[in-house]
Amino acid sequence: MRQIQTIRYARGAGDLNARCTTSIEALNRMIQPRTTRNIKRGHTSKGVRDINRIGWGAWEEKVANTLRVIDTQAYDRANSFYSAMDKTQELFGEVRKREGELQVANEEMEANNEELQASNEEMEASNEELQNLTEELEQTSAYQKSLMDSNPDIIMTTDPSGIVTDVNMATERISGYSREKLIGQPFGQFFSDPGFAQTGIEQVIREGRVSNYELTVVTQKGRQVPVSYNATALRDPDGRITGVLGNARDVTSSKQLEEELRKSTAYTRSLIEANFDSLVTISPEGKITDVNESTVKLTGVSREQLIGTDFCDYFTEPEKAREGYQQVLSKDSIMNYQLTINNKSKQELVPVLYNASVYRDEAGNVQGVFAAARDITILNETMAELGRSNLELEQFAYFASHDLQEPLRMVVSYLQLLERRYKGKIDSDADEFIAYAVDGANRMGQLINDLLKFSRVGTESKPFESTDCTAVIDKVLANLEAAVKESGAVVTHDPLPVIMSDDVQLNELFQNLISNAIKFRGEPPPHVHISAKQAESEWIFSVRDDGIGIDPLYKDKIFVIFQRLQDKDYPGTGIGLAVCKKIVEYHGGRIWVESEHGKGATFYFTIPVKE
Amino acid sequence: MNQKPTSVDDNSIEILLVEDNPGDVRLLREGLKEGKVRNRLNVVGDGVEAMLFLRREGEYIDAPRPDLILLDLNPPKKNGRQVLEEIKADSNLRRIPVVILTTSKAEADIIKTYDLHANCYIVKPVNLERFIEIVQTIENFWMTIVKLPPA
Repeated sequence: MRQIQTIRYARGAGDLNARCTTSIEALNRMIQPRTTRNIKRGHTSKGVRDINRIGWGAWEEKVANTLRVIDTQAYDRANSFYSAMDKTQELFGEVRKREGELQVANEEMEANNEELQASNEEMEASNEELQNLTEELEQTSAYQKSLMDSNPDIIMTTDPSGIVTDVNMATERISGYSREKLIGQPFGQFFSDPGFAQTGIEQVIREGRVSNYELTVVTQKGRQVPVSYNATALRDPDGRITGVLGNARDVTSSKQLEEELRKSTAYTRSLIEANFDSLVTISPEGKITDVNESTVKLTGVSREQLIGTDFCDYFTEPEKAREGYQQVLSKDSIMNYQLTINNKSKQELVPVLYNASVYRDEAGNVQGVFAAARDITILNETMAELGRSNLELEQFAYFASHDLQEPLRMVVSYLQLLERRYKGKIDSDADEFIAYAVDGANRMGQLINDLLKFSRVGTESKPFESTDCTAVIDKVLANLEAAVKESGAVVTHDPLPVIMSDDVQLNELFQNLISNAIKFRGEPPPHVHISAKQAESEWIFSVRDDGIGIDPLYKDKIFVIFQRLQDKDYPGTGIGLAVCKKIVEYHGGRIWVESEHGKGATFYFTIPVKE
Repeated sequence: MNQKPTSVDDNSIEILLVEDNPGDVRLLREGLKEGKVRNRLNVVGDGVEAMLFLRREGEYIDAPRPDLILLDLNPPKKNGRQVLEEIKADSNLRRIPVVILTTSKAEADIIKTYDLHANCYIVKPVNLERFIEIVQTIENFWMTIVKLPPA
């Protein structure tokens, strides 16, 4: 039984288990009454002497009774033991669980202990350091004082309320006040705006520091010195703020530079902003990097939204816009590049004309594209209006000259009828009067006819077709046969090209130039020569004569309608060369004359080479 | 103008002139006067009258059938193109030769009238000699050279 009691003193779960097993075995052994050992015990308890006294049979019965009693007791004990064992096992489970938890808690505690140990050590170390530092600090404070004094910047300390507690020599020098005068005074009173200075102190107290806080020191002599303040809070070892340490730099010269720079930047910027044209800078990748106000108006998009976005996004033809700035990057600049801005907020399409060039840094590297766009809405409208008004004018000229012909025909016809029927039948005065009237009516007829031709260049043009210039010349010479024969003119030409033109107009052009060449001839029979050569994208034609020539003074005037240089010796309406100019310009070319008075003239005109 | 046709001489030819300008009518008359062929000139001043004459309607109930029509392109009320179109759409009238006599040199007018089956297109010249020459040529060509279908 002793073994069972010792379970209470078991150390650990293993120990307890082992002791349980031993106890159970021992008990089992004890409750087997008929084992040799129990019989011996029966013998011992009852004694051999009883066998002799009561006889074997009675003894054996006595022993058996005793043993039964023992058995019963043993079973009772075993039962209570088993229930105790169950209870023990239950407790044992609980113990094991607790033991696990304890283990974890122990481990944690150990870890915490280690940390605690470490931080203790650290604390000790830093305390030591602090100690050393303090010592060092004390040792070097004199040295620092001299350093402070040698500093060219103002160094001041104040208490938390802003009363000056210390200053360096620079403070004395700049302010003009002695150290003694400065210490104990409110910090703010040495500045032009004491309130703002005090606000600075308060900011340091609140936020721990201020940077580049701009103040103006007023010196003892009243001079103003702009300074830039940097200040930090001074704290005691417990972190309480004990004051403010401020360092102020005299920024007089940098302030001036900055002011100049600011003014010049503002000036440049205002020029950019004042520009009516939209100005944009674009990175080489095509992103907008800067814009002016006109760009904001033109696109209907704010500056913030424009910058950083793709330049091409704001046009009706993004690809054309891209080609545009790529051309700038490859050719350095472009002129009069047409694009249309899509103003989505106004739902408007704005035609613009771009002039753009690259801009570079000091080393000459391309930084991007600077592009200026002009709103040409009004220009376009004006052009369209001009086109309309020109067309109206041409139509007016056409109808006027056309309708004038009708009454003129009546005048001419009836004058001629008069002449036919009554010439020589009235008197010589009547004949003369009729002759002048007929002459005037004829000239008017010619004028109207030429005016009609002039107006037709714009109103009755055909689409350009492939035209053989040699065939045109042949036809012109057939038309001019009478004039050629009468003057004895020799008209020659080089091989002539096939060009794209309105053949009727080309005919008119050559006929006017050749007939002029014959008309303005000198004494000998005229020689007229026509040639053509190709120069890049145009043909240059020339009609050369050896006639009276033109004073270079009038070389432009002759192409203006109704401008006549010659008198009645050379009859004409003054419309021929104006018609020539109109025809050439209608074909996209230029016309000019090279001549000297008395040395013949050469008329040149160009016609673009087209497929 | 607007002369009522009188009795028809079998040997003379009938011409209908559609023209609103009396100056032109007189010039034409002068030109024809010097011509070789005996003719009678009937004149109407506008396109509406022209169609009435040709269809013998209203006051023109006794009008002769013309052998030749001289048509100005711009008479009042109904223009020359409309008159031409109506003539050429009318199976009774379409064989009568129509000569357009106008001051217009416009290509569009020339093309349009030929498209409407005008028989020829003539621009009135400014010069009187030329005018008389042309009038006589028209008369000569249509009345003596050309073989026309029977009326």
